[in-house]
Amino acid sequence: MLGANCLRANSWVCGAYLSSREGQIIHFTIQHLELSGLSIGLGLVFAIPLSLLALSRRWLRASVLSLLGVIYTIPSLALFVLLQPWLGVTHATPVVVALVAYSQLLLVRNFLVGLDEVPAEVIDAARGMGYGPLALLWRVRLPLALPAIFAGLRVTTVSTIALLTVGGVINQGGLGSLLFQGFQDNFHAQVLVASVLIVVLGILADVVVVGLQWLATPWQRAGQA
Amino acid sequence: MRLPAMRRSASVTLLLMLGTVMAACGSSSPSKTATATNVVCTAKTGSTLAVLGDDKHLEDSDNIIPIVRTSVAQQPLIDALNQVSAALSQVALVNLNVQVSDDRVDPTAAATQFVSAHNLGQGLSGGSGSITIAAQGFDENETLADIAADVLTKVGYTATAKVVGERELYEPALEANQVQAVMDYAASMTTYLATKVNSTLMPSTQIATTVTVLKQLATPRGLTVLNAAAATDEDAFAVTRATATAYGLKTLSDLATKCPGGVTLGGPANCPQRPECQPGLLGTYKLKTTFTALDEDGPLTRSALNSGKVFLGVIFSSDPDATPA
Repeated sequence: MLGANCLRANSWVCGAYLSSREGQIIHFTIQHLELSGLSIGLGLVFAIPLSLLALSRRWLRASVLSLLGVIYTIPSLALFVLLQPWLGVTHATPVVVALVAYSQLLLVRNFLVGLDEVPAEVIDAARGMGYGPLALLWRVRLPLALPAIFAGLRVTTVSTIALLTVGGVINQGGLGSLLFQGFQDNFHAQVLVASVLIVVLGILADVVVVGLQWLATPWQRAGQA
Repeated sequence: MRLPAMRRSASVTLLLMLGTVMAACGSSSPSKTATATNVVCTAKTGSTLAVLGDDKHLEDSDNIIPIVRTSVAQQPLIDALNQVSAALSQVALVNLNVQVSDDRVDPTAAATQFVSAHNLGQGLSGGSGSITIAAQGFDENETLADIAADVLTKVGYTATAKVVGERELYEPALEANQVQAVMDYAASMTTYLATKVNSTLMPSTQIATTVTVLKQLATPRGLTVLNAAAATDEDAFAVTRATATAYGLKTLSDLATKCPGGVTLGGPANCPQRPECQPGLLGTYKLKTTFTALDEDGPLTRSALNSGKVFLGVIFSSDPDATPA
């Protein structure tokens, strides 16, 4: 049992922890990526039509945003407990549902901000060139709104990865499960490894989203150069 | 059920021995006298602990007990989990916790080892179907769920242990058939179910009574209560090994007899309010204590005991360092 002494000594930094729990660490890291990826993906699926709806009807917009604001203020732990009787606790559904619900405010608000900030004269010019409402949205408003949309996506991505941790209370929180268990068992190496991995995943995911934005907005690079 | 009887006879022997020792020292017999009431004991420092026996049953019986959905309670499952209970002596449970909490052996590995060392599942077969055993998110309970899963797998079930979390989460999941079994703690589950249905039923300090009450509460909810293990995870009172040796202490009764002037006590902040903590020591054992608030079974309690700052400390009976005096 090489290096097992640091396990017994409960050291914060412990190589034997990594080697003896390798499978578990990989399992929870993958679960973390899967669950946060699924939540962000589903978040986008719901946020896009919701934003278009709010955009089309001026009066809907305030109510949609304030409803999402109310949802955002529900503490995650309370949300898991509220969802538990319907969705069960032995799988990750309550956590994903909660994260998708939280992501809506961040995504929809940024989508609307982006789409709104397209200068009126640009829209007028496009209309003058014969763009219909769909073409206007797709070829003029959306590209111009991309920086704000990506800003929303970045915040959502990082916040989802961080919030997923709370799912650890029902052992469906990816690395959060590892963190909660380590905390409960006073297992220092596990707490440290789980925390570091969550931060690393958050940073990496942010870099990925920034990369996607870079790819999606080539005209911005051209402008800067 | 065998344990209380054994403890009682052991404590009778101890009291006899105690009387002899005290008489030999020229001191008075354990009955109250003017001089004896002034003896205030002071702790000896030391790094290892000794748990004093709860010979008068102050603590509610939080013995380990398998609870399963009645819908899956067929003979192979009942027999297999009762085998696990039978193998779980207090020493066995403490040893498991030494492995997973001190040596940080992975609970799954510790469970596999336990099952093969005790030949669990031997001679049993005929299980079929899939069983999920809920576990609370701490080492001991995960290990117990892993043991149950291992044994059920041997018997023919497709069994998995799954950490679900607190009782507030897994008990409804059990009723909703999201999980099918749990290695629970008798008194705590009794209290939980009684509160849930607003019943006045309560756990007892005697495990047999607690199990009867638990069955009354669990049966209408579609849950079957199997045999309780001898092993408990409940509040326990510890002194340093050096203190136990110096004063000749094995049980809380010994302590009350040897230190009629009282001792210092350290534990969780709510100990003076909890009937099974400081008030119980006085009520059940006539042991006077001066209380210092420390932590719930944590490092503060350990260091206060080790350094002799408190004589008696509140820990849990299944802790890795909870070896009997």
